[in-house]
Amino acid sequence: MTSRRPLFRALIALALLASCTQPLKLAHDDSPVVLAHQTITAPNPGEPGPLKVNRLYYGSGTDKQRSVFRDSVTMKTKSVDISPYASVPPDNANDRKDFWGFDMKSVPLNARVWYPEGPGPYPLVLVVHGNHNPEDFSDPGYGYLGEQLASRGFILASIDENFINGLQGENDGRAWLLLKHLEAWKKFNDSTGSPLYHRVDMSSIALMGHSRGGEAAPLAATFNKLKFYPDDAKQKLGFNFAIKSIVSIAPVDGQYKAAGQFTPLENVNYLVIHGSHDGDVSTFHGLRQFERLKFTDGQPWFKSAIYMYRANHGQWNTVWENKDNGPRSGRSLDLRALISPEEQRQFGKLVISAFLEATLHGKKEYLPLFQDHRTAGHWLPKTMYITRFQESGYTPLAEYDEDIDVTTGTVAGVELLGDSLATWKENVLPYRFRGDDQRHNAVWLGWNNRIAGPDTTKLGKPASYTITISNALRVARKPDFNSAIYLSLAATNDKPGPRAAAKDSTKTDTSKAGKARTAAIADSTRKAAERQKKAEPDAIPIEITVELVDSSGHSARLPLSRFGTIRRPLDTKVFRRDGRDERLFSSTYELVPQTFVMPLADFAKVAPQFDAGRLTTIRLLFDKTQAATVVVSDIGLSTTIDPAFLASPLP
Amino acid sequence: MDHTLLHEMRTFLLIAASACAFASSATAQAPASGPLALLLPASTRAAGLGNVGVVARDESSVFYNPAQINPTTGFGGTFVRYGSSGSMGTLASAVTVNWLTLGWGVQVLEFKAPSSASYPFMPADVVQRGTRDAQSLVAAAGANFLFKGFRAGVGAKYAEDRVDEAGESSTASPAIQKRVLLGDLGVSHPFKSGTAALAVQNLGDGSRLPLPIQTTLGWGRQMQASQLDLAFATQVSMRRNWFGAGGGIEAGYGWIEGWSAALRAGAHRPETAAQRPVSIGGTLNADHVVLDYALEFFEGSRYAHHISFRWR
Repeated sequence: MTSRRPLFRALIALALLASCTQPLKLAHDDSPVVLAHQTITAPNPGEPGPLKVNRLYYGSGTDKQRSVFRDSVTMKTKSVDISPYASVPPDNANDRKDFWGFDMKSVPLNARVWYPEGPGPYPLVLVVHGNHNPEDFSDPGYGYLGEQLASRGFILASIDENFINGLQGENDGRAWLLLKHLEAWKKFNDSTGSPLYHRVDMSSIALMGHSRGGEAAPLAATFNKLKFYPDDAKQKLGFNFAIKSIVSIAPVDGQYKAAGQFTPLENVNYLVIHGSHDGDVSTFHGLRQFERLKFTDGQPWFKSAIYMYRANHGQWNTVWENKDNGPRSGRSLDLRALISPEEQRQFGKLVISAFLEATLHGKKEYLPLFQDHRTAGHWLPKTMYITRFQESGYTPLAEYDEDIDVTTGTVAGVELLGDSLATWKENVLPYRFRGDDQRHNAVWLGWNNRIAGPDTTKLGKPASYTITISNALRVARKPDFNSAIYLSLAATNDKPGPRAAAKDSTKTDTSKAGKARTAAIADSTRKAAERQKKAEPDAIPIEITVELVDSSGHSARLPLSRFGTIRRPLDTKVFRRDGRDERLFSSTYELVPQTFVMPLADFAKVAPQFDAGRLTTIRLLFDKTQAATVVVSDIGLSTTIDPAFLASPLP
Repeated sequence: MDHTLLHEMRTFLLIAASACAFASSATAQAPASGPLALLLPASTRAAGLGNVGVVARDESSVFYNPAQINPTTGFGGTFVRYGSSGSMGTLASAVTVNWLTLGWGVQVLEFKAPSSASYPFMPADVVQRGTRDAQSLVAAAGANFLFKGFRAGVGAKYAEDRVDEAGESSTASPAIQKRVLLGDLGVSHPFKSGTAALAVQNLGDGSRLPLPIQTTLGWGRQMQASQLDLAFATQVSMRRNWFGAGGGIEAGYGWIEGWSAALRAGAHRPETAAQRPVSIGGTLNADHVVLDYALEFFEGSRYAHHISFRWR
């Protein structure tokens, strides 16, 4: 018997430990179905290109900590004074100066460069890391992107900003430093003695940033067009480089606010990627950047946001890896849930290459990936994705930000009407972080087509939500066969109870039996509603019918799932401890509406009498799923969408 | 092992070895002084680290160094069992109000004083099972504030010893009651990635009872070494005709957020030959509960068990 005691004690200890961790819980993986097709026929942009890759370093040549920026620099750069944009707390200043050998008045312009062999000129891409332990240098962590992009005809420079890591409120400094690097690149390109003389295409520049760098990159694009630094006009900016594209990787947003405002952004191509299991920036802050980006100059820009299930914050950088919460992340974060670093980076290589190929090399064959990721099903690592998309042809019909009237759209001439809905309300889209939101509104539409009562098969008229476009607006927008309807939609876990039976006001049954029947129906309704509340979230995919009607009354219907995946919430547990996610977050999933781009031509194909040019009504018919609640935003119309975006439809 | 850790360990060992070498050349036994509770470890963690408490920064610092008083979350207390008859309870708390940190604490000791022991008692007397009921009490209060990078503290203590009569015969020992008011001063400053601290304790009128007036200089630091949390602490203490030194090391590991354990060991120069120079201890953090334990060794296989409980 005594020999069992150690085993017993060990079991008790195990039970004690197990009691405070939670089992791995992941959303049902639908990737075998969703990623079953590959309709883009171009070469896989996630694979290396044909060009030989060379590497070099540039910098101060005096770096105290990194031998590559001391002994191996091919091009020497002058230090710059970043002190107007980034400051070190006084009690920390001496330690930092001791470590780095310089202060904020003379920071170096250091970078690692991967470039293709050949005469060029090649587009220039700068990538900058975010905040991390300053002594655990972050800039080497994007070598995988350097190798990849250089082999495909881009020059990639990974910028060293380690010396401003650990500071607060310095993202404007990060952005300004990127622009100073562009100045250095102009010199490299213009100097006859430079190994990169006339090999850099300074008319095709992309900025890329990760984490705080993901706020700095778009901020640099904004500063690039300003004459003066908004917080101190004594500092001149006036850079005016040809920045065409921005990539934000798991960015923060709003840590820097110029004049107290979230940084405006316009007229640039934009891609943001974010992981659901980000243990550092645990909410999709890039969606706010996505929403703020406006296309105002009539040029063919586009923006795309991709949410990757099971990706984290650090695996986009080979130095950071799975240490989202510091070196001891394994104690607090549930690392079991993460997709492998190789798959996460493969996704990064794929979408970043495709984005830069499309926007800097003009390879339009990759554009469909950003409109509907299912078109690249065989390239994408097998997990789940939610994509947002908009191109410069988009004009809004209903974005829900403009007023508090649920029946009016964003522009005059749009009328909104719900029918038989259990939920119809407008609100701001929340973030998973408590008290934080996307600064963008949406409409919540909930329905249950079942009629309350003992007969569980009795269904009422399907609920619907209708967007009516006035004749004047239609004439102004001029939709046609080549236009597309936009709509972004996310399902929630809420499921309304059965709807009450329609009352016949002319007949009031006051008899005893009638009252008993009424009470029974009320009781049944209440019980059903309680059951719905207690029930586990529904796993059955939601289906919605989209009906378009022209001014002659001809209608065309297609299922919404034809244009994208209608996602149930992607349940995400970031932390190891049971209940920790619930305490920190308002919800265990991020509400990310999927964008559906619906060509009017597709509707005309199924109903030839439907005249796209006379479109008057867009209706969401909730006739396929008995009960659910969805969040809808950004209903709009694009009459000038580049056909390349729609060129690889799914069968 | 990284260079920083090696460097830190070398600094710690250098200080500890110098202190011990210097101490061993001084007087062999500390001169008797009182009240007794002033000579006993008030903190379980300090007890496990060779009674090095001058650099610790928590509520119990009110007994060691007022400059280091610092509130920690929650509430708790300490119980110590000395041998088979002695026991001591300690409560301490602290609060920060604007720029001022205030702390207070009470330490109450009860034991059976051996009739052979003369007053003032020595620390090893509390583990003997004697016949005379004895109590010792310290009530302390202190405050500190930060000034130009230095944390300065001041404290006041009321200490009392009571010993009952031993019997009713003419040879019986008479009852003893000694009360003293004492003052403490302290200062601390970041030094060598850790904290250096200086405390002058038990300043008072020693005309009725020899007081353990002492000056203590210490250094300690905490650091992360891969997955381990390490802490070092060392100090040297000087009284009239007595020089003491001690040091301790602690290694902690957390396997999941909120749960961790630490082991510690310390060595110090004992005040009498009946005390052993080594002590050990440990901590278990289990979410809201923190349990600390320390074991002191005495002559004749006698022990002092220190147990602290804190609810966070």
